[in-house]
Amino acid sequence: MTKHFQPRTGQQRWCLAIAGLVIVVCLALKSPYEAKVSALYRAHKMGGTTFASKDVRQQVTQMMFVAVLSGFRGVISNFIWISAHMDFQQERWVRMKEKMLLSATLQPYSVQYWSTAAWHFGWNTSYAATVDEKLTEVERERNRKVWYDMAQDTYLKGISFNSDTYKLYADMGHFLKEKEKNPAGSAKYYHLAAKQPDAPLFIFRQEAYAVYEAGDRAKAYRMFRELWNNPLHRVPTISTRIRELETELAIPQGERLTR
Amino acid sequence: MVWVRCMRKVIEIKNLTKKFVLDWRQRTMTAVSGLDLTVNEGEVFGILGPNGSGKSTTLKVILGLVSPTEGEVLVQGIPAHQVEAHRYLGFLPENPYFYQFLTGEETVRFYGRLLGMKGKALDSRVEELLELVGLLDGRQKRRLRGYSKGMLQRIGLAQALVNDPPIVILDEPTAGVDPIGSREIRDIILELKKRGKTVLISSHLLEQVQEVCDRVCIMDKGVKILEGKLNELVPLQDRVAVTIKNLRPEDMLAVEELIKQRGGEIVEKGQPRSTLENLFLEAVRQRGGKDHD
Amino acid sequence: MTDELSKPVLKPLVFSPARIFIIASNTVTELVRQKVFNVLLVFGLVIICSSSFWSEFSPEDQFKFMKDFCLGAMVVIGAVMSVVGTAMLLPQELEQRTVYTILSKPVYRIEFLLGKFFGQVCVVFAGVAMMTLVFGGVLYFKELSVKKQVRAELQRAVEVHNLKLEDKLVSDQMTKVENASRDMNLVKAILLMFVNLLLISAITLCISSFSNSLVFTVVISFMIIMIGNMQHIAREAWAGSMSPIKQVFIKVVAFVIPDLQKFNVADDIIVGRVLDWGGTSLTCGYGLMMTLLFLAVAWMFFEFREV
Repeated sequence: MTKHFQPRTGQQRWCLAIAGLVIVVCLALKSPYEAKVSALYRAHKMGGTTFASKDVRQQVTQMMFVAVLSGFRGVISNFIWISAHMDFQQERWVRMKEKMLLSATLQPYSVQYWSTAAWHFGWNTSYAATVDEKLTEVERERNRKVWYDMAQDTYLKGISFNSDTYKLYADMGHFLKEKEKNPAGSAKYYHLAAKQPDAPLFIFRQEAYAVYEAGDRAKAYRMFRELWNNPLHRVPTISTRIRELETELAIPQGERLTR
Repeated sequence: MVWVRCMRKVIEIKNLTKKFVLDWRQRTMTAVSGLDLTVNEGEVFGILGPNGSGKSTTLKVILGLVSPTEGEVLVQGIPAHQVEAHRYLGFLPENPYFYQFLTGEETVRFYGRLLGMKGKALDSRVEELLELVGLLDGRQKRRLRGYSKGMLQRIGLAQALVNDPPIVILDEPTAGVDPIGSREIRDIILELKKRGKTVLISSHLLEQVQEVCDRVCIMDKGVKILEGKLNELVPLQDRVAVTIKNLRPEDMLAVEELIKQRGGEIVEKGQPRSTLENLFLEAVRQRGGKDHD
Repeated sequence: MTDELSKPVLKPLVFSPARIFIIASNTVTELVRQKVFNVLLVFGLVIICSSSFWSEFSPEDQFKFMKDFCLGAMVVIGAVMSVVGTAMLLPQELEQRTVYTILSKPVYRIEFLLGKFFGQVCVVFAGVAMMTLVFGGVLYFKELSVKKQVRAELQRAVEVHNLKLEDKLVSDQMTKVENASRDMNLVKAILLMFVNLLLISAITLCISSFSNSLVFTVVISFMIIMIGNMQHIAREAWAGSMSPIKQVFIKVVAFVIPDLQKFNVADDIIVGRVLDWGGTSLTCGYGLMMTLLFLAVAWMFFEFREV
């Protein structure tokens, strides 16, 4: 081989020199370039992190794991999600939960998976627990609590990956308000949601309503008045609340909303 | 002999040895060893030998497809491995298939474009070549997939000639072609010679080479056994061969008797064979005998 | 004629992009007439399946499924086209004896190699472009049908509760559907996918430049693709406790095999992550550099190859 690899003509010597130079330069640049791209992806929060984690590896088959690693993470998580949906239809709650969490863990930057999974736990499975006739009243209550905690955990885990988007904060705020009857906690999460750049307008109103329900009337009044300054927020509910609070807080006539 | 020396050498092979590495243990197979050969301008030169005698390897070295292990090959004075040397060469490989999904015309056109021809010049050249090889009759519009062996060979000749090279190398040009087809190919080769081309042919079909070659070289197991002008090598002036049809055995005895009476000697008797084949077998036999000694 | 021959003074033969173009376009013609695009029918099947079912899922889910499945199918079909197509380039030339006729003409080997490569890559590009167009079209029709479905559901809900259907409500819902379906960032994902296929083709060409067997070329190429996709995981997983052997192995792999996972941004883009054009071109640059590397290695092997 070596003997046959010796250049016999000037042309081949040139080829060897040019190709060799290209190879050396590319190999030398390879590692630093990869590091640069990796840093860029980390900054953009791209490339899921948790694939190598043990719990994922234990839950998927060998084939699926290989597929996940070779760039078909989305496809595999879709299949798992679809099969979780089938479990939902057949009311196999625990299996559904595991698959949904697996799906979400495979694509942790998918807000939609966290949001839907937690919504199922907070609204569907927890309700199913409360009407399960095989259980005693105490057991039902305990199960409902477990599912509520599961929903909260799921929201928080989702938020840990997607802290720069409003959706999961808002969902958490909604859950705390509707299910846990915790307007103060709800207000906190609506506030966080409203701070995100992609927050839609109604989130700001939701925050104010939650503050109002939590009992801090003075703060709620300030927030409603501020919202009112933006014509887009001038909805009937806000003007009603403002008038109520003006009476309740005895705001001087001159400072009241004129209309 | 004097006028041969006046001729220009267009291909020179000096002490060519080619070994192929067979495996990782560096075992080698010698395809050609110590070959010296010269092809002169304007002649039709034949390299003859059985399969595996090193003919194709020799041609590949001349074409720069394979590099020599030892020795030197020059084409028009340029080392064969340099791409510049290819400007003087046209090549028809053994058993060509070409791009099966192109038509005959497209194939010739492709090679023409590859050699930098274009426009009107290319059009007329393609037409001229298809005419030369006898395919300008509608068949040039068909895809090569449906071509017969002989037609593929003609397309092969056309592409080898596309840039009008002074040297044309044909590897087994008549292999697998029917007698009529190979006769036509022979005519094309004679036509090329008339146009002043140097033609180098390799073949194991001896009769056909015999009809067109000026000089031949016989190879066996990578070694040159014989080289020379056909008319010097083949005819034996003091002998005569007679081929007789429908002779009864008793008459044969009478003929033999008559020859003896008149002072003649029967050197060989049997089924007729072409003279070159004779020569070839003899040469190989002699060499084989030497090997065994 | 004798005079001209006796003094072979000719312009030196220079490297010629024109010859590369001629060989490339010939390769494209050959591949197109071999009907390689029939492979794309598989994509048609995938796209029909991924867009017709799942109506019980939310619009977001439906669009996510469709994008994931279609882009996944594009990668698989593209990779098969690239690896098998490239692996067959040289063996086919040898079998047809065309490589002898081309290389015995005044054509540099690098021109031949690049011509074949670019021809093959053009076909892959056309394949990806066709799949992208079909995908875009089907996505658009899916959007229309989902919109219709959402509108009908709204109408029903409104009728049940005996309310008036407000335009604002409808348009909000329609915008939501559009947001889930339309995403120009997918173009970046597809672009990087193509660069990935380019690199895969170069790797395959590199292997076939010294291999004598088609099966060997295809198997080794797919193995390298697998390793290229997984090496960063190995690095991550073994980062903590690395035995010296593993360390050396990882170093060697990382030294020569490109990290193909860098081109797989579709998963992230589909779930809503955004990669700007600067980042996209940075990764493209990485892919092109690696392609150049493998082409150079292929050239070196091919230049010295005894055909």
